[in-house]
Amino acid sequence: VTGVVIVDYGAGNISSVRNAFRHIGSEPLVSHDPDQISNAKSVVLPGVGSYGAAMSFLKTTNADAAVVQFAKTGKPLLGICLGMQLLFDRSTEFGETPGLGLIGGEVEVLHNIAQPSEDWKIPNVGWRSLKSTREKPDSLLLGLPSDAEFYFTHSFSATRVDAADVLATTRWSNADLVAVVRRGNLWGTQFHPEKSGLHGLQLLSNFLSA
Amino acid sequence: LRKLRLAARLDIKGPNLIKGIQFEGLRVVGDPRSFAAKYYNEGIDEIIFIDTVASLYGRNQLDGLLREVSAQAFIPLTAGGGIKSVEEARVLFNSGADKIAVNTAAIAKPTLISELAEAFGSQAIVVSIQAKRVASGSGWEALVENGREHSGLDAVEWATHAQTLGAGEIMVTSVDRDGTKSGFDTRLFSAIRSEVRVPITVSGGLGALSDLAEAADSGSDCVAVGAALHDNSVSIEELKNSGNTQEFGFRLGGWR
Repeated sequence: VTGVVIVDYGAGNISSVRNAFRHIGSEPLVSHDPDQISNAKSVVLPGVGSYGAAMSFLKTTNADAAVVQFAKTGKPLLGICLGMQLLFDRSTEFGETPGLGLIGGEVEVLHNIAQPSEDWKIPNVGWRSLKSTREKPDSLLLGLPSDAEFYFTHSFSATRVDAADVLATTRWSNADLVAVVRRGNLWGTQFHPEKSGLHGLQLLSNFLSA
Repeated sequence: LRKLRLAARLDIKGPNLIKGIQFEGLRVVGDPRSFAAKYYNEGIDEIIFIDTVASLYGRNQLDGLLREVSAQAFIPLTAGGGIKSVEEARVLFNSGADKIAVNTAAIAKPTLISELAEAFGSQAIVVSIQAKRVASGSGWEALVENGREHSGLDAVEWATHAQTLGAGEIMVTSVDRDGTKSGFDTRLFSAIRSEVRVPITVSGGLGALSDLAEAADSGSDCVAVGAALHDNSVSIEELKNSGNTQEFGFRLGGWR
């Protein structure tokens, strides 16, 4: 059994996620090998690039089936940014692309989700605080101040997500966007904990203790 | 309350952090790794590295620096200077960059912006514009080659075109004010803001804490500070605290 496996789908800045886990005392494996994913203690789907390219890479390497299988074992899985979006049913980015279908919901471009107010920008870039939907903090958000800010950078966002799966939202224009999701052993953050200073590192530590 | 990001801009020449005035008169400031570490520990929101001699050497040489800094600083890092292709950009992303900034090569070949956006996503592509007020007094020209050469392009029109091609952020530097600490060219920032919907990072001329309010008023999303931080004439704490007494603010905690 290996420790944390960061699923490599051939795009973007995966080294930052690895660096962050190293910093909190874990030595993750970066891999798209289905066997290594199956044997992991926990799996991280990192987040950059395009939905279609990520899904087709996961399919080509059979990593998609391995991730879905892993999700059923009850062991912890964290999706970050695009990695969170992949957990949902589908995305409408450049036509419709099916996702992993592990959490109900769809991914849409920001301006289809919210009526842009005067001050809207796309992509949504910056440090944003969260609005929790729970009275007691989820284990992923344990020990974090309620006004903690996290680094977001995205043009797409999850929508039509069951309220029971949403742990926290964040404000964009005049809408509350899905910021943190949880369904059983599956977590997802729209922001980048590996780029969110000490609060982000705390969140990743919480994930490791899950 | 408008939330701005505060970025440190580190101009790099070989192994050194340097600082120029109006893009000329370069002098060595020190080791960029120790400055980056210091700024991260003091709560900077992001760091922008520009290789100022990349075109001289034919390639961007920030990869080693990015590897070291990204192992210790868990905030967004931008790399720029001399990037001409998707492959060069990939090296920098794989070394720890979250965003790359392009200028000269994008002006020479604007479709480079689309190629980069397609490969890495718009949110990772910053188009850097070095804008110099034209002598006649109306408008600004986008300069290339680190502020040394003319392009003939109107800076505001170029920003709009860059957004259409897929730029996820515009970084605008006032060449006239750069390193002078004489205040921002907020007319320039407002002119670009009124034409684009992507975030805008502004720099060039920060001298007093009150300049930040003007940057916020001009619709900017991120203020990049170089000279004033490097020579200790202002601290990150002062910059951030000055923000919170007014109509705008910065990230308040999470670095200690």
